[in-house]
Amino acid sequence: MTAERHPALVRLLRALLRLYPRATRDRFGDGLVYGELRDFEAARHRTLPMRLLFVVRMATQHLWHGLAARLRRATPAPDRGVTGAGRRLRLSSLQDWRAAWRAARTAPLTSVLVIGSLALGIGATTAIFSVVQAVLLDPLPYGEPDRLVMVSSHAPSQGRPVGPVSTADFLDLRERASTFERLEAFQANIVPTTLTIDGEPVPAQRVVVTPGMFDLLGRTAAIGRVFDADADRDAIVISHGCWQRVFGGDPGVIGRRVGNGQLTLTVTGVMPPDFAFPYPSMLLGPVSFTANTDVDFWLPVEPATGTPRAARSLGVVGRLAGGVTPEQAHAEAMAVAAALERSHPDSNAGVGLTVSRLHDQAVGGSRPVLLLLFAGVVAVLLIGCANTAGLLLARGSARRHEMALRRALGATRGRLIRQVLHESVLLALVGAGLGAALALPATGLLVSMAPADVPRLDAVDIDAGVLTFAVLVAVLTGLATGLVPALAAARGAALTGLSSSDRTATSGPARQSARSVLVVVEVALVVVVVVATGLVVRSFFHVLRVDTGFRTDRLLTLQIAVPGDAARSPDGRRAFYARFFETLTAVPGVVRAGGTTRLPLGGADSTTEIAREGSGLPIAEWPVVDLRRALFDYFATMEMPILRGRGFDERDGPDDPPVVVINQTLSRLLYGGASPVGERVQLGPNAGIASAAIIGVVADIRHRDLETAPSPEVYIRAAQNPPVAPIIAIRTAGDPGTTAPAIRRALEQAFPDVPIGSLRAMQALRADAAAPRLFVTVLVSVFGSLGLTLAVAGVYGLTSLVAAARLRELAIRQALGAARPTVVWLVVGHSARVATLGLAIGLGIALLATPALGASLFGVRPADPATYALVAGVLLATTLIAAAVPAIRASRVDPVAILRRDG
Amino acid sequence: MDMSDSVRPPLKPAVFHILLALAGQPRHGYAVMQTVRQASGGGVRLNTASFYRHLGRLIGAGLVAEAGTRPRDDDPRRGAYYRLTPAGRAALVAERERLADLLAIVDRLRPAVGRNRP
Repeated sequence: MTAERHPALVRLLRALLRLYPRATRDRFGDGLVYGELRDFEAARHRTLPMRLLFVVRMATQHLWHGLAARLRRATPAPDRGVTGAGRRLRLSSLQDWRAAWRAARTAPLTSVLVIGSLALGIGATTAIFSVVQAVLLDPLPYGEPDRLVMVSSHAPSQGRPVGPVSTADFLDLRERASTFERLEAFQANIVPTTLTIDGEPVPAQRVVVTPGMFDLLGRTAAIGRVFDADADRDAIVISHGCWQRVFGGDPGVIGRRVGNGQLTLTVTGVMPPDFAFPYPSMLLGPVSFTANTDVDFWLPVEPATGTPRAARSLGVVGRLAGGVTPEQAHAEAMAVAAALERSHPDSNAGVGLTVSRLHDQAVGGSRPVLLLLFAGVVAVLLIGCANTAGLLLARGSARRHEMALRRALGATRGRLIRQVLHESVLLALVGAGLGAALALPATGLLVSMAPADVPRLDAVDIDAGVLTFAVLVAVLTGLATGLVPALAAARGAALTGLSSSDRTATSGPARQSARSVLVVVEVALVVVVVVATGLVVRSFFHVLRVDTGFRTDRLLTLQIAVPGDAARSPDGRRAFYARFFETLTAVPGVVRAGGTTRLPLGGADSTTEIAREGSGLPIAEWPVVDLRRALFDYFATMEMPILRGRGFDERDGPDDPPVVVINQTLSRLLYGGASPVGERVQLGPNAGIASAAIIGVVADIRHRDLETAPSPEVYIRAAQNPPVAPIIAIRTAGDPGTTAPAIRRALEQAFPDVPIGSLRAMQALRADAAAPRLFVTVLVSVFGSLGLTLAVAGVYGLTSLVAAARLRELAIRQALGAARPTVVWLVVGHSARVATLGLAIGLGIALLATPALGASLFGVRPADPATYALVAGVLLATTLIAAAVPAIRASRVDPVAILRRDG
Repeated sequence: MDMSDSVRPPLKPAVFHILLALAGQPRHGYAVMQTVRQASGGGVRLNTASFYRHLGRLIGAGLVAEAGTRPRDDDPRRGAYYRLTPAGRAALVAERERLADLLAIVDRLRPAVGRNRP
């Protein structure tokens, strides 16, 4: 039963069995396969990386034991047995390492090249692995994290496959579902607010959670305690970062009274530094407009009954009951959602519930990026391996005499293989040591360069796991690179014997063809890496050239919060804004100012349902679009052109009929090509306005980020529903950096009770928006250039070898009158053929593999012909040059000297 | 040569447990591995490759032999069944005595060592 289910594993096992001597294979083959299959079955429920690890470990063990069994047969030793101390199998001795050291010193150039290329490969691989481990592999910092899942709403018909859950749906799920041991919820957005401490307002970011959230996550406070399920009405738990920043690490913080809006709260606990919740990618709701996703404090709120089902803003976290899989929980959640659809069709038609592992949700979009980088760095390592094998092979050809002599003196083939393997493993270990030293600063660099949306970067560290990985890679690399030269050495020694000399022997056709195969592999790998690099770099330039739809230079943004008293009533807010913009536009150097509720290029959105008036559809079937508010002179400040009708002005006061401006995409969605100006629309509960007239159409802008196509947007005038915490946009006459201090001074003077956040230039925000791509682009470029350098070295080495081997033949040809170009081509031709073959194979693999780049590409197809042509051209040119140099050198040698040398 | 070495204690823990697993009845390879893992409570970490290396040596030393027979309608893919030879049983008994002696010495020297206290 097991064998049929894992045919690939059985094939791998059968292949591994070939490593053992035939007698062992015949005797134990069936049992070995059966045992591994059963063990694999037992590991079946684990995660994919764990299963991969199982296979890798299994392969390593058989490699080791199989080769050991062969060596044991090759070199019988008297003192072996099944008992303990002193009688272990001798795979290695000090003598071997000494000999390896001597060999490395006799060919210092080769050794330095090998160590250098392996250090780069292993160092880069280790650095990337350290990030992969922390971000993707390490468990989340919660108790029994494997049992934690996230429940989200699923509304594909509204274009939202994953979204927040309404309070009512959450409470129903909690009551009906039996696959969860416990369900808790949080407001799926981070709210920037202020904490008032001893009368001083301090900006702080808040997340609202149900009181049992910390218990569900299985974490307790470092100081004080987390919430009691029922007792805490006015408590908060603060993060370690907040404790340090706001309270200066005061150990007496527990019990401190702090203000938050109209509330007075008591600090009951400080969480440990490694605790994080929620991770940015868990924020499914209308996300706050700040790019900062550090949480300062958690406020407990019991979910209220009787809230509208259409208002969805909760993230739901569940702990699975014992033995329940996420799939089973998903099935039950879907069933509950189906029942809710039937009982509440108005709000829930077409809305399902979906369950995913919390870890998957937390890691979010960084998984494909990191896996891409890991694949790239492993490709570079493989190129380095092929290169090293080639170099060792070349060194081996220079040592044929030594090997033959050893063989004649009684060394077995096994002994010679062992010797060469020691040499390659020694070089690889030294390379790994250097690589680990390189990995330390490289990891720091990686983390500092990484975009903010990669979670858990603070946990990245070179720890025991990473170092084990580096050593494992080094040993495998050493064995892999040493195997071909080792077998060649053992065979060569047997074939040629002592009588051969350079005069009659070339370096051996077998050796040359082995080397050629290595170069084909190397070039093919490099082509794949360089094609991927080319595509990613081109994507990056496409992103830089994206038209945002508004002018990003000379534009400042600022986040403010309307202070307590003014914030309470719409009239208070209106009065505040009138005074605020008057002050702002009076500052010298400020041309125009406006505001909105969501920062362009700054993240996700607030949404509302919308429909043409009189459409007769239930609200659940209305399209969901992005909702924004325009404050003061927003469109003109951003330089967003009004395409039809007009923008907002004084005619649209608080007491005038409600009006909206929609963007081009929404206009097309609702009215096709017809003009929407004067038409009326109905809006969902989030908008605060039930229906309004459309007065104009504004041009599309890139709002979420640079790469996402504009989504449908509706703007309402802030005067008709003024926000509490807007984003202010300020157009300046000159350099925004020089105007910013004057703006800050003026505002702080006029509004001492308003915390003025940082004034950020839109150009900087634009650069931030391109940062994730810059990170990937820089790394992939580094891999591409490393790979290319190694490949050039490989081709150069191959041609040198061919030239050296055929020196005598070339001399004879020249002596007989062959022209120098003919002779050069004789040597280059071989390398050119090998490189072309590698190129063709590489281009083929690239065509198959690059679609996996997926979202890492932007504006470029995976099969972009220009990139492929460029890569082919560059590789062909560089390899030809690399081949021509040793060929020309060989042709310059005086033929007479060569012919006379061996007389 | 292997003969004289392998019957001489101390036996490696993995070897001892393999012999122990075969003491009751003949078993196929995977059953031996599972018995060892369970009997040692995970204390002996045995992977398939190293298990068969030990088994090969034990057969070479004459402590274990193929059983020759197997239960009827047994899955042939499990591989051969193995049994303990008289020499294997002797090695097991010798190891048991060695361990008992060791325990006696320890207890005599330091009566408190290793005793459960209430």
